[in-house]
Amino acid sequence: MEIVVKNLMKEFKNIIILNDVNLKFLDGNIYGLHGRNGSGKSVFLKLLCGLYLPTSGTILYDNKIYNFKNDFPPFVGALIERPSFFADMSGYDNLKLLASIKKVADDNQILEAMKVVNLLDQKDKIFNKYSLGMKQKLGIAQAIMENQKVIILDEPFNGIEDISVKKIKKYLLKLKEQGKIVILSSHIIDDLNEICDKIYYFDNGYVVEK
Amino acid sequence: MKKVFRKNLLVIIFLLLGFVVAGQIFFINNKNITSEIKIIEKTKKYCINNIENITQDEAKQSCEKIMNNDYVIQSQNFYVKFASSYLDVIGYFNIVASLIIFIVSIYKVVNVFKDRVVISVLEREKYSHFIRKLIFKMYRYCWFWVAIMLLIFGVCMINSTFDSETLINSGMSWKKSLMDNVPMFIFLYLLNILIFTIFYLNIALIAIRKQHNYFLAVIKSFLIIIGIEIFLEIVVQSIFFGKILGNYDAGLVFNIMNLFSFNVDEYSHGLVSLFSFNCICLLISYLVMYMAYHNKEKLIIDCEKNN
Repeated sequence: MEIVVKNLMKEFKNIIILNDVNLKFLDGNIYGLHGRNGSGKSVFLKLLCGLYLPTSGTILYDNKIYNFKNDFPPFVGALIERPSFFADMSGYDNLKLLASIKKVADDNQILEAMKVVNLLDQKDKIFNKYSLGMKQKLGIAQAIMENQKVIILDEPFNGIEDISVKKIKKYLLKLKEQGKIVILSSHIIDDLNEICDKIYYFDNGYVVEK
Repeated sequence: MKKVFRKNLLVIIFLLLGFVVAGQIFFINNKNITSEIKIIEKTKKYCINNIENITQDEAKQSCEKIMNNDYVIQSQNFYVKFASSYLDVIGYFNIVASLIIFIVSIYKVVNVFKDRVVISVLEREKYSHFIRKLIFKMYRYCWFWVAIMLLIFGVCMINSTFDSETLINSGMSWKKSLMDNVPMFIFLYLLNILIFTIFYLNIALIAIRKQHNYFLAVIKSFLIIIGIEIFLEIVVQSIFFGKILGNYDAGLVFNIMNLFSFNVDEYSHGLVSLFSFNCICLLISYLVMYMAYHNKEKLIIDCEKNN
């Protein structure tokens, strides 16, 4: 799997968020995206997931464009910004509902994902009763449960206790060994330095390798 | 079972109300029949005592018929029962028919936007598939008013006659040729309701595109219906057809809130006008829905603003 970003540009209401971004992501690597708040990291990740469309430029997954019209790359598991789940359903039921769309994750994989993020004992709690950290963990669980080739995590460690952060980082390193592409963003550079092979820095719409 | 009951609580409550309404109609129909029988008995006694004094031919003929038990209880006729049900009970639901549909249908659908679940879904599914599922989810109670009216038709059919020939000055608002075919009448009546219900649900989908709060979405949907109705009555009926074309009656078909009236007699619009209007409304609503939902990115951005 190879993700190639070519001359990517994104603007909203005449404000350029990303300008001429050229990046490459390869198998078996963990990539970090760093920059201050509002630097365009989340927008870039949404473009990678197909949630937003580029103003110009392309994103190629193994030489195939997915982010065109209303398609989406089918081998991406993502947590973008705040986790999005039904407030009146339990954590487990929410994951089961999402898993029923693609039908690639069974009950064991869902439970395994919740175990990785230390959320198994809270699986039957209603989502709107979760703390911020628990919501974030559930968001990570839904990104990893389907065993996708590309894992995209936007500020994944927000609100999560150290012991769980360590466990999740260990898991991400395991995914790297399995040959997956992991892309995570954070405004805390230490989190990225610990596990990332490459870090890209976002500033004023431009991206440079750190 | 408990889960199914909880998930569909609102529609179950309104269906139970439908049963109550059907029960009320049953008692009203029986009361009308009993009243008519009493009147006939009174008239019979009067005729027996006063037949020699009656000079008018028509009145004398009526008396002779009653005395020979050669009369038909009008209230026992299916169409009379149904018309009476409309005037006494069902007609009052015209104004809230769309509101009830909004209340039962919008809840589960709007949460997809309100809780921003659409973002998690669109990471896994094509946008066109998501929209198709959204529409079918909104349509899942489109049978609601059809079911209620089917129940009411059933109640009106109990111990009824179906002969349209014997209706005397009934003031029925339906063409005789249509009344002669009861299954066709019921089918077309229910089809009209179904088409308008789907139109209402399309309006709801348009309203929830921007309004992700359940209560506000219900109110907004209802206000849109009222707004369209006001436009049709004032601009189309009164001004265009009434004042400009001088034919107010021709404009009566332009009505989206008379869900249960089904006006297809010789004096008002016919079946073709009625179904042409409701199909055009449906088509326009699909067009507006397409304009509201065709941009995936804009939908995501609007949902991201929710807390």
